Amino acid sequence: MIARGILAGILWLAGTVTSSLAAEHTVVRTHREAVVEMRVAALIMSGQQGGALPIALAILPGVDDPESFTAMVEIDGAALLDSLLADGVAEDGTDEDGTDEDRPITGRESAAIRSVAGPLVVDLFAYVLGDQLDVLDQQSVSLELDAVAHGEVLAATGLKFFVPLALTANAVDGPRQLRVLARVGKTFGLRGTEVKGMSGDPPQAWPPAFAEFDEPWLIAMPQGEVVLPPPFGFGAGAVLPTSRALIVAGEPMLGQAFAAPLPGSRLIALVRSPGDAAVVWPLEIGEREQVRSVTPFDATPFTVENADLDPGLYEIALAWGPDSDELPDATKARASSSYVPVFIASPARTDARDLDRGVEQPELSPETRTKKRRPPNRKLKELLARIATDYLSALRQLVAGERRAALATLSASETGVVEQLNADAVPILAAGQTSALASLTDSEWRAVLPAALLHLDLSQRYRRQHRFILTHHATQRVVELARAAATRLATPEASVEAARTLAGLGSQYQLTGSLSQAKKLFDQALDLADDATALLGLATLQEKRGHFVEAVPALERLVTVQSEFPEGRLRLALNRIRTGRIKPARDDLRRLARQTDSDWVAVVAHQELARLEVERSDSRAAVKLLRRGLQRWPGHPTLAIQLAYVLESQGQGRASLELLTETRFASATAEFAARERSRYNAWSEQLPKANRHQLDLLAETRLADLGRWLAAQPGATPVGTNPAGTTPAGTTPSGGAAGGDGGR
Amino acid sequence: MLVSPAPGEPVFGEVEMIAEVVAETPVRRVTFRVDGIVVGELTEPPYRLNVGVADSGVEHRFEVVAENVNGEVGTSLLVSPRFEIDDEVELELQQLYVTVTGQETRALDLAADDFVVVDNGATQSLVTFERGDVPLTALLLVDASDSMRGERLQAALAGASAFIDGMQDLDQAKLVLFAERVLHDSPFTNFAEVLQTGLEGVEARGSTALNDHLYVALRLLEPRQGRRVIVLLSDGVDVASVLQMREVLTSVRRSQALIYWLRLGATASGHTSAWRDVEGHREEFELLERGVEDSGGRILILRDISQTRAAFTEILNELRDQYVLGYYPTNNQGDDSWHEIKVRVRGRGLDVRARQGYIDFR
Repeated sequence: MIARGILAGILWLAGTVTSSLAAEHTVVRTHREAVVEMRVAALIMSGQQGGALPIALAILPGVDDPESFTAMVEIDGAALLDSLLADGVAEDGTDEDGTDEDRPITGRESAAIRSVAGPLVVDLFAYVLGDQLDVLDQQSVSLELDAVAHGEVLAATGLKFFVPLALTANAVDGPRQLRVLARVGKTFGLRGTEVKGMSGDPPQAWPPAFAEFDEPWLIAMPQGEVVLPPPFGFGAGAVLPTSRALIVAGEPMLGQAFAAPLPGSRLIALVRSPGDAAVVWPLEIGEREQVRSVTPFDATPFTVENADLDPGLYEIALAWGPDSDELPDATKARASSSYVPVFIASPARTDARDLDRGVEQPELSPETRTKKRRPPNRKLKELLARIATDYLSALRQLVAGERRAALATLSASETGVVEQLNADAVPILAAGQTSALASLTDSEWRAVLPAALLHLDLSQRYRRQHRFILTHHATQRVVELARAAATRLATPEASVEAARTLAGLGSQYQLTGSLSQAKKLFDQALDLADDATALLGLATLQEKRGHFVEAVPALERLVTVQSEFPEGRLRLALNRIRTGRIKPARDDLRRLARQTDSDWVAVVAHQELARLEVERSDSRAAVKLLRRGLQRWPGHPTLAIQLAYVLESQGQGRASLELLTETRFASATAEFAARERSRYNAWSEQLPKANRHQLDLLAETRLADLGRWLAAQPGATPVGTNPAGTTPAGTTPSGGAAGGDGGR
Repeated sequence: MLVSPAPGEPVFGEVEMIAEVVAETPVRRVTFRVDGIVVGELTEPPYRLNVGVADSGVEHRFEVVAENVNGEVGTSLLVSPRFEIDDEVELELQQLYVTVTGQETRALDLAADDFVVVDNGATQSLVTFERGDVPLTALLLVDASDSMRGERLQAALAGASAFIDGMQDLDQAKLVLFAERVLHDSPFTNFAEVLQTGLEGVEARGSTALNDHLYVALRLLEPRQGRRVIVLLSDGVDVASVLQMREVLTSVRRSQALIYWLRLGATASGHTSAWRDVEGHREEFELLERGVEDSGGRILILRDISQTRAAFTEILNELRDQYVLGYYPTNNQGDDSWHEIKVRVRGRGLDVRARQGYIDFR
């Protein structure tokens, strides 16, 4: 490392160091699919924190895979038991027998636990969001546990969930968030935190991850899917992580510094309350030693005496000071590690609620509480009928060539229902809109394509508006209509069309970085037919993640389906090179360099072919190729740079320099902006655009069929022309559209 | 008559002009000109003047004009040839630009005897030694990709301006804003106004081709003798270059330019692209770090773009405080091999930073 003298990292261990993993696995049942409960989604997307079930959250970096991390969620046992009582799941009461040596839990908790009938279900939902609040990954875990059998542990400590999550790190630039909801019965707790850049390297300066006291916990951890990073990993000397520093006032804090001591310098601590100036604290330094862990590492142990610190939140950093008995002035000391928050607890056990003390927590708004909002049956029927009516109105506008009006009508209808019912709106909207199409015969399902495209466009619009529930609904409608059409029509052409529709939706998600969603849609498309857009989307998704081996099969299928697509062949060639299949790649690159259908592909082909020639020590061939490229694209900066490099490596320094001096790198008139390699790195748009164009053309041909079917539907009237004065579902009596789904 | 510089030899850096004046009547003044510009006047002997010649890729005209008390004038003119890259010029003198630091401060009181220079294991004798203002030629390479939009680019340019404003008369610089292509560049000049002209309309856009533009910067600095410096401002993540960093590293070693990297953000770990996986990007990053270290430069990590100005100023101050050590290597074979250089200061436990080595060209 170039930055000498800077501490490479700091790891704090709690006042009590555990010597072994003191916990037990009690996983009874888990759901690892991303179960989407709309009410939960609405709560999570609201961005609020708090709730009656306090939870604490920590992020543990991935091991060997920087795209993965583990969310560790702690549910405090005492708080959990309180919630059971509050919800009526457990009954309050005292232990008739008083203190019992065989049952150390006494009193209220004991009675509460023993009163729980059946397994206790604890649900956890974790969402990873991008900066546009796109869902990058989501997981749900459910735990059923025998409260009576494990009540002792539950009362003493609580539950720790370890949930593996994926960050599509650089596919989306900007900050990422982790938001978690834990639910027991009707009680839930919400917490969120920022996910900073993760590193698979040995620990540098993590967000705080502390070792647990030597106490048992109930742990939910999918076996084999979660690997705890050092030094917490299971094995000899492993310790269980905890989400907050459990450093007890009056007891020494133990820490380990990764950097070796500098001669003439002394390690000191800088301690401050957040917002205040730091004070220098002395440290007792131990002998450098190897820490036992799954991956052993060297560290210098030290001790901070904190007898004088009151319980509360502090920040501590390490610094180098001169090696003398006198402590340096804190204003002159410079922290050599980042400040690490440390919570110094009172001698009594702390829990997640302590984290919130003194911090203003927003009240969850009434709209986001999980309260059933389904209207009574009669009103429900009316609502469903209105939804269906609005849907048909929108379709009529579409057939009449009023696409914008159709989108507005459908959006107003959907928005109004969501405003009224929040997360409960989704199944009702789906039911109402599906019922509107109930009379379609099998062959008439051809006419549904224009409707599917309406939902496709609304999906994009809602996503831009960050309206999660509406986005989810619109997406589901596209998927349902596409798949239903493929099933009902039961022809290869119908499957191809459905695949094309799903691929189009997947491309939308891909362009905005929701890669897990995009992948699902591409997979669904490919279940129906070999769609080029889906194959390209899948391949580029793998490639962008650096999974080149996985990209090859999709690209091989793509060039079979679409043999005249230069970009597909280029990507296949480059990924073959990366996976060692040079000869077929070289042949493809030669052809691509000569073709004239796609200039940007030809430029990249020239460059990569030249590289191959250099690598097989044929620099002359590389020079010839690059000169040909510069004849075809005079002044191309990247070709000039590459040629200059090859010339220089051949000993032609003067020619190389002359070339660079002559090339007008900043020329505003350069035909090429040298963006070919950026374009390769970007999400491909050519096929998705062509795909959408094809769908639009097809939809145009189906409008007449749709019109004929609509004309045969009884009783439907366009919006605003109902003589009875009734208004569409969800709109205000004055006719204006209602607001959004509150997603933020 | 001009007796120095010597005729027929290309010149660069600091040059001593020596005029011998033979006159029967007292000399009123001797005027020294370089390339037509008056650089000094002396009224009494010795008629010696040190001048700086930064741009060595061209011929230079050295002229002295002696005027006696009667107003009679005598002149002497010498034209030095341009320096040709591929000419066989014996350039055995290795010059090292060395930064010496103690407890976070630079050591400025060292003498030549304090230094030990070891070239491929053989201790070398210093033939030149100086500290202080040695003219430099700097190329300021500023990342202007999408991630630098808005205030970030403005802060970066303010930092570059601080460097430019701190330049001295014989220094030269070139400012290049790059993304996947060059968005703006200036000529080499020491006029701040020229360097800062035309920036108003430049907007950060596109992705980053750091490797390619670092390579071009190294090559464009090659013909310029004396102290050559690249100051790179970027987060270091390259997704658009045709060259790989290991290819650029060869040029780093060949060019002998000092590279200072103002690094935005601490690490590039976890990054992938369609061109490289995680391991590939990490390797690129580490090779760039190595290149900076090999050059004798330094990485300054900027936690926030607002630190740019202070960072540029710090670099300039460090350059002013550098020692320049020259030696003729005793163990060159002309075999294109890499010679490792180690420099230390006797006895004082000081940190020394200098170029890590050079290529012993045929």
